[in-house]
Amino acid sequence: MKPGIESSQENADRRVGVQTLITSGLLLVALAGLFTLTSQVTVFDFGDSGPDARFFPRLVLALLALTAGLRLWRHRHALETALGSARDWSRTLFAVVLIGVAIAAMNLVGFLASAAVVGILLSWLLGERRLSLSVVLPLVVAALVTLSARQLLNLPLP
Amino acid sequence: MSYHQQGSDALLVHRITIALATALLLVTTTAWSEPFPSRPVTLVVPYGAGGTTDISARQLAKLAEPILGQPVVVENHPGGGGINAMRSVARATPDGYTLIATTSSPSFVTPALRDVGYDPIQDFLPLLNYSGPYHGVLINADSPYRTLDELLEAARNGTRLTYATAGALSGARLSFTALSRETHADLQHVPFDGASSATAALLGHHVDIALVPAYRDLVNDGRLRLLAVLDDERDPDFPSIPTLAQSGHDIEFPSIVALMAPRGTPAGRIDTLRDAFTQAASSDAFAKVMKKLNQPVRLMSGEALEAVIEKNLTDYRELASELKR
Amino acid sequence: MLLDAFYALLDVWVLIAAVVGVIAGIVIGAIPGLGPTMAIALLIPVTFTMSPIPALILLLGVYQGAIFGGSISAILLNVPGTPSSAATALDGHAMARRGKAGEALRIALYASVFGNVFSCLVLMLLAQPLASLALDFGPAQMAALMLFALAIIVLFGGGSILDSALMTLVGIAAGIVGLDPIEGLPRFTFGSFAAEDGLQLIPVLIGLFAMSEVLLQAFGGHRQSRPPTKVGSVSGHVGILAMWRMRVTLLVSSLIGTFVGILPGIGSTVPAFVSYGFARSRSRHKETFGQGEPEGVAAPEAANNAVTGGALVPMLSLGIPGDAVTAVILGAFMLQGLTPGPFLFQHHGVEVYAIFEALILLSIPCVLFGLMMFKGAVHVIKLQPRHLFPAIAILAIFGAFSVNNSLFDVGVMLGAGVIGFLFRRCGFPLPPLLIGLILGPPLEESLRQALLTSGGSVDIFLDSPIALGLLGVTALCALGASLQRLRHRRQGN
Repeated sequence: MKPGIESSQENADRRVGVQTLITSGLLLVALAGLFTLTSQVTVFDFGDSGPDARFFPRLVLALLALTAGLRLWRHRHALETALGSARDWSRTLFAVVLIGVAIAAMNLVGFLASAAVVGILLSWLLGERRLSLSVVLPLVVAALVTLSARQLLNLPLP
Repeated sequence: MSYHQQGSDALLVHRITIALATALLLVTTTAWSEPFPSRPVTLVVPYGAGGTTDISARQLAKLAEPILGQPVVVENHPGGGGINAMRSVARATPDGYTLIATTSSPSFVTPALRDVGYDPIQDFLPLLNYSGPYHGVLINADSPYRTLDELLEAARNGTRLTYATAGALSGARLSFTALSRETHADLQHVPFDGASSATAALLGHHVDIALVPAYRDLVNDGRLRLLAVLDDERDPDFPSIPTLAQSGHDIEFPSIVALMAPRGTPAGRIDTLRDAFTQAASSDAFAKVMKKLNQPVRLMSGEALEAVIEKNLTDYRELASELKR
Repeated sequence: MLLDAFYALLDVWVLIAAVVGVIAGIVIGAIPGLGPTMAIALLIPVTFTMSPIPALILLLGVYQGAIFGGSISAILLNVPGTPSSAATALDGHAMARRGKAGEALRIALYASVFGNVFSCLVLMLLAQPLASLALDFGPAQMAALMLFALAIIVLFGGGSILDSALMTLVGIAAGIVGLDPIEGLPRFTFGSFAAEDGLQLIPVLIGLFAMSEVLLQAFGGHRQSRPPTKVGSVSGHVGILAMWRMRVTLLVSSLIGTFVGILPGIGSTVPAFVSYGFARSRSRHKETFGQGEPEGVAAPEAANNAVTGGALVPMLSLGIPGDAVTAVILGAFMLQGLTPGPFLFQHHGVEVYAIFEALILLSIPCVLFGLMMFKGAVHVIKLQPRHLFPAIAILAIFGAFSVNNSLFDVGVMLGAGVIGFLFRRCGFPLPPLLIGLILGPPLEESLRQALLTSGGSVDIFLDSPIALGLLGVTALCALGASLQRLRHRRQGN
């Protein structure tokens, strides 16, 4: 699990970095889960003895909040990985949005088209500029996957 | 907006209506004149490939193909205990080209207990019932109870008995909840992930009772004892074992495996499909496969099936409303 | 009996079934998202018309091939083809990055074969006696066993214990989404019907391991293009001596795999990670684990292949499948008229022993075609990331969809990819998250089953020697790990 750290080595080691950010996020999610527990988990009464459906989530979320809090406390003086440049983040965001849109549009335009678009735009994003590799290769892969899924595996791809 | 414009709008709406009506008429006439089926029929199986429901549905589809004159393509749509597939078929175009091979729990158990996003009566038209594994009340062979009455007697008098079922919201569980309410017996439900895990828990003496199907060999081998069946009729493999109703309790859990079409499918197409699949299900080839799978062939017409589903849906809804707090 | 069974294998159809099964299995296993379960389920209709022995050998060949095939993409691409090869990816991919892909693939292949042969021998020897042990694992014992497995992952998974615990809890918490295993009512679904199925393992797995890699590449941009020669070729040589040096690891991992395979419901992912952790903990050079240690490839591969034989024990003797794959194989056995149960060996002894022998002999095509297919795999690894990752994204979308034919799962995959990307940016370990997600739901289920059975009393864990023993070992492990840390800290000061 190292490549992420290595890639941002040039501006690493800040006091508040990704680790604190993500751990705080986890702490918030756990607390939000604990607060919405009653509304999100309905309980039927069959007259069972023993713990109900809220017992395990409450236990796990409390433990999660506790561990996240403990980690924040223990590492309060530690140096962390810096966030990285806005360019890097916008590229990642673009990839996520691209795939998200492709998934949302898949029922309309079909698997082949959206998969090919994802492939072509991703290879452009990753820096491939030769047409044969950035357009033809993803198209071929998408077509191969579609064909074998339909013909061999009998999957109802959209 | 001027009066004149409004008038032309009304005229436009009128014209569109006529055009639409003509189009609809054309579509329906072509639908009538076009021989059915003219393209492959999709049969959705709400469980994963390789299970008994899947294998029997595939066999039935294969046998119905020559009768219908079109391929019947089986599509697995597992998840949510069958609920997801039922919901998507309920919303499919009711043209006779989408069918579902479904079982008891998504047809009348789960819908009675919570909102599932479809109505088993309003949204589905049953074609026929072709199978349904008998669910038994089973205990270990070394257990002291010989009959259901002895067992209930013990549970009424201070012995706490646990029973395993194949899943959280199963019909088997609801029938035993009703039984324990009726007889004031101390019966505790313990759900397992699938019938085989529930059977294993009984064999390992982790629970006292199991309400499971596919018990024939274990009973014949003398490892388990069958006290009653939850269905509305006796298991032909064990003709001496009574049903719950015959044991004096007005409770039943009829197990079904049925073909259904979305409600609104043209009547002519329903008849074609019903005839073809009924013929396939009553064939010797189908009986042979089902024997191999250790599953019964239980034929029931669509009307009778609808009555069964409706009755149980009402019963379970009543029970659920008593239980919900 | 053994000889009769062997004669039954001398048939050209048996040979064809074995070869086709193994090749199809390796190819399907190597594609992320297409596990053995799906491959076998799709092939069952093909075997309708075949006679029992070739039909079952075809399916078992696919099973074996797919479990090994999963390790090919795990090593070359760091994308586990099957969940069980996620552990193989840790050191296998590290070896590939250091130009030792060929060696890693061969070690994986030989360890697979070793684990497989070992577990089949155990299966033949102990099928019936061992079956009684599996039944002793009721809810209380299962809950204790899963707590034990989680503790092992957190304590000995490597890295910071706090980070591992955090990730494990994230995994368990994510497993809560969906239907409650006891009452069957939705939890944290926010009214969505699609979420009622919970977060499916394969989409999450593909997201965590494949999609997060795509996003990391996007984050790194052009900087991450690497010269194609760096990875090196997959040719290489692993001698008998090299394997002999790993004999203890191989044996222990095979034992873990076989034993866990016999226990219902755990599958092959857990033994792979447990034996990886075990190999690491008893190794003299722990620091090389995760950096491309051959034993780190051999241990999980031996274990996840040893599950094959183990999982067949309860299936054949009681008709109780050990995991999802054996559940599907069980359907195939029934279809062929081989109804599992205590009388299976009496009625169909020749068939069953022929299948046992075939399971061992299937190793031959496995090695043969495995070695031949590495040459094809060379071309995959020589691709630049910018050529490879668009294809991986497409395969990931397809793989996530194929599990349940649902677009919701593809969305889950993307979400897991984003989360995996963020955690990897932090340097948090992902395997504990995966194990938490896998073991969380069954842990809750068996914990609550046990407490329902006992009427809410915890005595049920203390009254069972197995549960008590497992909890005791868990406590000892925790104690040992903290003592070790304490000593390290003193030495450090």
